[in-house]
Amino acid sequence: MFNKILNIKRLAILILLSNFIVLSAQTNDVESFFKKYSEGDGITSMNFSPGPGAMESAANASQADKEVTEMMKNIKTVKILTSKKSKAKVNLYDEALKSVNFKDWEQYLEVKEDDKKVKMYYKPADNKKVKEFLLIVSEENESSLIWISGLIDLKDISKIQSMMGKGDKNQTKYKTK
Amino acid sequence: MEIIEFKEKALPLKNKLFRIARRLLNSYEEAEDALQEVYLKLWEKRDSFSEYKSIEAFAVTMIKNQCIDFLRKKSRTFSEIDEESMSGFSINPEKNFDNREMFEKINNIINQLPENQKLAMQMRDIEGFEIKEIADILQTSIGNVRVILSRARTEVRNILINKYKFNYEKN
Amino acid sequence: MKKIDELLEKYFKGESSMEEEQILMNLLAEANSSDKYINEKIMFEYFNSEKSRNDISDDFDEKILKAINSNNTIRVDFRRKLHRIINIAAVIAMIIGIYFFFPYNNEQSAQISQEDYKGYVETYNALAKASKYINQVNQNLAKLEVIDESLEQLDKMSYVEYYNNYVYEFLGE
Repeated sequence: MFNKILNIKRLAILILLSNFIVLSAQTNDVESFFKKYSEGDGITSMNFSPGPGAMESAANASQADKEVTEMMKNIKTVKILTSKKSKAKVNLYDEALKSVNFKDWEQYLEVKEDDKKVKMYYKPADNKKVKEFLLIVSEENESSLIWISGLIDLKDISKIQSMMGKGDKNQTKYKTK
Repeated sequence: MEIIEFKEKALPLKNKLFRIARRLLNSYEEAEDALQEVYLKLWEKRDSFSEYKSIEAFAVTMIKNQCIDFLRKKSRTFSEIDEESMSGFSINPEKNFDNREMFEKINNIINQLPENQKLAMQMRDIEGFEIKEIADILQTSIGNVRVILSRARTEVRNILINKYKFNYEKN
Repeated sequence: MKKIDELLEKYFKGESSMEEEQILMNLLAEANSSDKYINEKIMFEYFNSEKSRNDISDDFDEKILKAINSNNTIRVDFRRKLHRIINIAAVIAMIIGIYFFFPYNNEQSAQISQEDYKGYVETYNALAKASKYINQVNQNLAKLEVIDESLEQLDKMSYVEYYNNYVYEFLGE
């Protein structure tokens, strides 16, 4: 009888543990990627996670529009990893493509232009929101990863983008090149 | 079509097309941008070159449309002068050195003509197109091209006479 | 002299032929600089000078051939029916900028350490760079006028066209 109870308990704990492991594994591949590559020559690692209270205070102090305040409240973390190709031995772009499980992500954008490569992925949440963005960039001299997590409302971003865009007169100007 | 054939058929037109683009856009940089876009479009359509009577006319139509679209998007009036292109104005130095200032003035006068007038003048008086070809490209009648040319030429002369009262000194 | 007058009249009516214009040019070239035809003379001299103007950049051919040879691509997901690419990098960069300039914590005063400062600046720069690339995509798409088109048409497209040496593909099949 004692053994049976112990076994059930163990099983319960095991089940709980494995759930935890599975849950963690969902963001773990990007997190562990960041952990793995953050040390090293020519690599810069940045972590920005100020918390919603601090963000909201900053937004209020700046008297930003409500979409901006909403967005700021809902950003959890921004992590950036940059690697200078001359100094570092790794190309983060290539490594990310190998290590990250892109089955969990949806591809949003992919650009290949001469020496430059950019890929953007996102993880959708309910109500037209996005819970994570992942950008990987490779250019001539450096490669970088940008990871943004939170609960991001795409409508807000679109509005903010319009507001930002209004200041640029030269948007439709032809460029040489 | 291979690149080599495209090179031989399309690239020789570049100077003519560039002059036309520059006349319409009044800017060196923008004319070159427009020309690059047109050449890429020509490349896309290279396999239908044989269907056209004249690649040159086809290309000129494309550069005209490209420039006009660009101008519409920018909502520029045709009387705007681009300062950058003004300072970069240069004439063929071997010819008529003394006339440089006058040429600059004429250049400005033509640039300020209405779009179809300056285009017709460029195409006929400088590029040597036939009236029929110009009519096709401007999508109008031969008679109308003559009217447009008449207006352009008369206007240029009138401005020279009235505004500049140009008189050469006797040598 | 009469010949010149005749031809000039035709010319200014837009009725002269190519041959006649050539004759006119030759006659005017011979005319004295102090003649009454000085304005017409200088007009024709100007046209002549413009005919041989070849001042397009020397490497133009090179640029075109390079553009033709490259195989640049842009792939975009329009499943979410967004009108243009979400430039999350630009927005986040702006937000970090705001936070950086207005850091405020209920308990602590607004002090940023040297290290944090550096971190924010580098974060901002990385985002600004990514944002620039995304913005260029938007500009390319605007040139293609894709952004203004009805989205039903877009849904049908998988492969669009070459434009400025890009291949555009729209995901969501």
